[in-house]
Amino acid sequence: MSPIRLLFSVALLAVFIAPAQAQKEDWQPITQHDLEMKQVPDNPGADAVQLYYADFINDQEQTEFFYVRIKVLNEKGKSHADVELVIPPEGSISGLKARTIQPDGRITEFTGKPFQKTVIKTRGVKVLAKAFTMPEVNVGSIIEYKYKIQWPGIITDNYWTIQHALYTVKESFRMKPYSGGLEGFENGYQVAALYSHMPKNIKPVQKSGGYELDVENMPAFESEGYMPPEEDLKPQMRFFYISTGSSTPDKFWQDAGRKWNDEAEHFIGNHKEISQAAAQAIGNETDPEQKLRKLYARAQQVRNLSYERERTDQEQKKEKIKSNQNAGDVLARGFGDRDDITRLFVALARSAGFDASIVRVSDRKNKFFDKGLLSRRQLDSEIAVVNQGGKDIYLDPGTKFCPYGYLRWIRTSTQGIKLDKKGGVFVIAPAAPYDKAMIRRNAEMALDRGGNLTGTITVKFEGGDALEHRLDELDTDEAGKKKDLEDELQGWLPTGAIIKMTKAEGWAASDDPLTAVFSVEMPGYASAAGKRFLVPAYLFQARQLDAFKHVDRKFPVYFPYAFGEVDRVNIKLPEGYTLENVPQSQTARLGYAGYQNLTQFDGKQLVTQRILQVNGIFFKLEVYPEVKDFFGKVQAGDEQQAVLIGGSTSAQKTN
Amino acid sequence: MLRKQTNILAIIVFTSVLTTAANAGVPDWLRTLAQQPAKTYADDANAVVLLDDQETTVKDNGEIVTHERIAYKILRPEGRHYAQHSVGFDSETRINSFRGWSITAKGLEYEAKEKDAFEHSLGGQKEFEDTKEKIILLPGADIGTVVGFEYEQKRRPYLFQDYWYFQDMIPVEKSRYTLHMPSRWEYRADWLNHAEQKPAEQNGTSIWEVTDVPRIEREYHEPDFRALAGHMIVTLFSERATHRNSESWNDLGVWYSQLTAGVRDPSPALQAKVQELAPASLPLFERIRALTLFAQRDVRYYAIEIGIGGYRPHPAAEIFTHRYGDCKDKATVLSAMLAQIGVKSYYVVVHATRGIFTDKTPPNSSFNHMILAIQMPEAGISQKLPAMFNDPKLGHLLIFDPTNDMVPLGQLPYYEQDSFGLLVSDSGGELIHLPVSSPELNKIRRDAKLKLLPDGTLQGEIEEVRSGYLAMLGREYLQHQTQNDRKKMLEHFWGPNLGGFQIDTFNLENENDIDKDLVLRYKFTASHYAKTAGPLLLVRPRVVGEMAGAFDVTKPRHYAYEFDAPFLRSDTVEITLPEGYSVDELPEPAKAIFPFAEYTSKAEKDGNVLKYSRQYTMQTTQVPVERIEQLRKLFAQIGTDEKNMAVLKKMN
Repeated sequence: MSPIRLLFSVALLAVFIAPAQAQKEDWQPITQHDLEMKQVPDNPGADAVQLYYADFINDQEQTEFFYVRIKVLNEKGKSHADVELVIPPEGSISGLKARTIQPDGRITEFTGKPFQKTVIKTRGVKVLAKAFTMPEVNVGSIIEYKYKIQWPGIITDNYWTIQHALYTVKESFRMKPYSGGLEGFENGYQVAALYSHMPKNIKPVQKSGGYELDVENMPAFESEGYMPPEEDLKPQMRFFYISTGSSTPDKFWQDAGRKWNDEAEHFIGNHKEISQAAAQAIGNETDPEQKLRKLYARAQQVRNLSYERERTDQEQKKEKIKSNQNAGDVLARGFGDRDDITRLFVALARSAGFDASIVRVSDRKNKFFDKGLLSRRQLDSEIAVVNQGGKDIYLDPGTKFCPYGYLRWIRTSTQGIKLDKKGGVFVIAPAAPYDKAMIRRNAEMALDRGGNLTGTITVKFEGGDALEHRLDELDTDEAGKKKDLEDELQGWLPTGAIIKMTKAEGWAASDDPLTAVFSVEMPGYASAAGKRFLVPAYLFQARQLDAFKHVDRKFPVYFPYAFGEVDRVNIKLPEGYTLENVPQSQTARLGYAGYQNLTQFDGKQLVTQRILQVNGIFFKLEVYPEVKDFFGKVQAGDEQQAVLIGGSTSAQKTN
Repeated sequence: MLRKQTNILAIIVFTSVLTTAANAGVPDWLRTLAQQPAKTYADDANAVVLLDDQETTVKDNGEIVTHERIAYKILRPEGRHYAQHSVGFDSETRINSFRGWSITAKGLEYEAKEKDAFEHSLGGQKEFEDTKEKIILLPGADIGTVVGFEYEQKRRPYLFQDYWYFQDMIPVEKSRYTLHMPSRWEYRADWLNHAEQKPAEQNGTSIWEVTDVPRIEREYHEPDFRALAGHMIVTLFSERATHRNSESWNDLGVWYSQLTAGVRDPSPALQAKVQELAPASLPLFERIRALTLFAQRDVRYYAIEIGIGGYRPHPAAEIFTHRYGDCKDKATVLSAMLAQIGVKSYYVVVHATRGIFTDKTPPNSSFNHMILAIQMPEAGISQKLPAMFNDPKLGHLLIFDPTNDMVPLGQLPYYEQDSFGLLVSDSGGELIHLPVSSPELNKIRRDAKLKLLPDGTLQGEIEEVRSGYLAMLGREYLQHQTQNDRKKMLEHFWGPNLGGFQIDTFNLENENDIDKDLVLRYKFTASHYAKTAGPLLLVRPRVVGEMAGAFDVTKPRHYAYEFDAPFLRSDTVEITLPEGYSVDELPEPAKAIFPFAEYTSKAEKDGNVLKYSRQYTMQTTQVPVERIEQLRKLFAQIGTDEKNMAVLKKMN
């Protein structure tokens, strides 16, 4: 949301409220507890503890006051004495004071002048930072500083950061809303407060028209691999100004939906050239689904500017790239951004008689949609839905390379609004099952008497996996794609594998798999033990084991999308060798995941097959033990060895 | 509204929108370059330097101005960043002009002027310097686009020396250096990493030119780029430059000695602290140790470098009061404190990356770090110390780095070992070779006492004792982590090698006592360690630790292979076998002996215990390219040994 400008000065008002606020902005008394604290509860070895943190938002004065008091607990904690405060554009920092308190209570004031750093300076933009370092800081020192940010004449969306990188003993938050006139809110406004992910015992109180919150003993926020987006886990309190009448989230989103619908419908329109293009794309096709596929393919032919590098105004002018005003423009010019292409598809579909609509959706890469957070930015892109034969088919023509019938994972499993004249209805964009994001690997290998494995590996990425690879490689050339795929295969195979990609097909396709063929050499793949060779029977291992390394987790396990792997590996044994032991078939199964492997030996060749299916994305802490156990079985199955006997080994040599 | 945390990237993108002028006045020199026939390069070359034309003009009053034109052709999407060019500056090195142009493959032209550039300060969270960067970001950054930049800048007046780097990470088609000098000035040109070329000279102008210079390749553990790239150092001589150039290392030492005169004067508070920390009742070495520890730990690293402050330390009294400073400041306060107990010390200016200064490096000032040489009285030397340097004139000098708080008195950080530094004495300076520690001083000794269960689970305890630089790396990795994080880090580190690995208990000893070995002890369970194969149980006796270094066997190697320092690593593993199992087959012993390294291992059965031991000794900091094949064989043999398995068989 853009900053909101005040309609008139509030300087006079600020004078009246200043003394009451100032009292809370004094240095806080240093308690015996502060001086004695040597360790963070339940986290021995933490470098520092935040004894006190304050964030006082005063929209009446257009200021935000911060107070930070940190105790240094070990050598690393001294780094908290180096402070850099970014001064926001259109804002300023005032009243900066800092000091160091020694363990014996002696106080050293920071009397120097903060250095001014240029974060960025260019035409019309200048962002500076104040940098300073505290004096006489040792282990046991308490450092504290306070300052005020001022945005004269501007009100911004505000939030309190309640959980920090350090354990915080005491926190104090205040928010005083603005009460004068605001640009864009001439018919009145109100302050909306949204709190999310708050522990049950923490609840802000409304006081004097504003909000207050005091918190004690807030643990440090520590991230974890394979966790849901951080923004969805941190407790946070947000404030924003909304028009009077937008009293409920439903009303807010209805209003927003109506505006988006008006814009989209105006863009889609009813153009003759669209009908002609639709008819041309469909040709003689009569099957409704095939018709729709052809229209989808036609929309995806349009050059998709959202997946090209950003261009300056000057470049756009020279390259004759203009903003499209309607679907006809997109068709005529042959380019558009992802929303333009989605709208073109809807226009084509409607002109061919389909019931097609726009769905406004969010991106769950960084945050899941939160209906209570009244920010339109949450629903930042469009997909299409077509009702065909009574069934809704969700489509994402605006995502380059997106296959028909598939939505890119970032826009699935989260709420969106299917737009209509009244504003629309909330829907959940469906996630694809595991078989829509498959990796199929086929290896034809031969083992020599030195334990070296050589051969050809073919990898097919299908559906969502192919899409992600295609999008990841948009910013590189053939050499870059080759290197990245070789590196990816390298990551799946034992260290030391020598890999050369010999062929790749399907980079520019949407529906077809992306297929890559590699020539592979793995020196010392089999290890020698006297007269035996020990051969890892399954060439490929599960890629998600990192998520299950630790006995306990703090947060749920979160995968971007459901996935599957199907592998077939054929290893021809060296002449004179046979199998002493064939690895046993292993299976593991949960309601949402499955694993199976199988080994066969025909006297000359060891043939293994392996299937892994994970049909979920979000695994709550309650099911962590069973998912960890499942992947433990997968790992055990994948690590099985085949024992070869016969001949004489020569893997270990001396120089 | 940007709030609390400004998103710099967003602003840069925003800036790029602004960066263009309406009429692109592409100069003829760039247009000519864009029209010249394209040469062929490796398919992973991101861009090529078409021309780097650096022109240095020395005025009679000593003022130096550099004018540079540089043009690149973008060959790959990964080379798009060459459309961005930056020039560093401060109040003494102002930029007189700066412009840029681009010509796309389709012939579209763009221009950016100095007013289109953006600026930002250099330095990170732990430093403040007054140097900024001015950056021009050109439009049209696509494959085939030729970009060119031209700027003129006043040079820093402290030392009369100039550098011409003509080799890069991308190929260079042509690089030219032109020197204009007044009549009473002379120069000396020194070439590094490239055969010397004679200049074309006329009327006080000298021109050097190189063409088709290959790129510096990226390889595992290669020496630093600056130790490999061809460049030329130009030293200027004149009456006006007396004591402000580096004709010899001694001259440079004199300059620095004069620049730092008086900064080590003590304050009463400093003197009192010395009495408190290092009373005369202590043995001399302990007094020295107490002061070095103070400089390491009680003077926090924070660099404030403004103007000449990049070279000159702050006064010792000021550093002592604030208790913070950069490497020069830490060396200065320590030197001032040592003087109070009658121990003399000397600055040693170094580069914190080995290989940039060698015994062949001509005198120049491109150091970036300062340490101290402590003159040890005979009475103070009670043991042989690896960081001791014997100077013919100054006697026993103990080289010490107060900036690194993980390396004890008597040792040097690994990155300074086997390097060269300028010892600044009262009378001048000399380039000295900094000592290298022996493998026996840098050890990891691992002892594992383990038990294998019939289902393949491995349990037990490992003790890992680290000394020398390996203790320093261990402390850097673990010391400042919470106990929970340490456990996670070990699980992360060993987990991929040990199926179902989890740490049961973990203990770290001597984490803060840098004079002692660092000891890690951990008990663990690995639930899928041994693999069942019918009646057989397959177990890898090596258990933990991968010693073979990273090596790309698919490409020819161009450069030497660097090691942090010589080392000695040894593992002893004892695995008690599950009841009813006996050893059926053992891996072959390994023995790989080369002039620079040795690796041996053996596995044996002792009753119901499977014993495995190995030792790896590296004698050097660098294996030269001529011996790379031997290094490859060494790594291959280590890799094979590490994978080897013992076969256990269930007895009837």
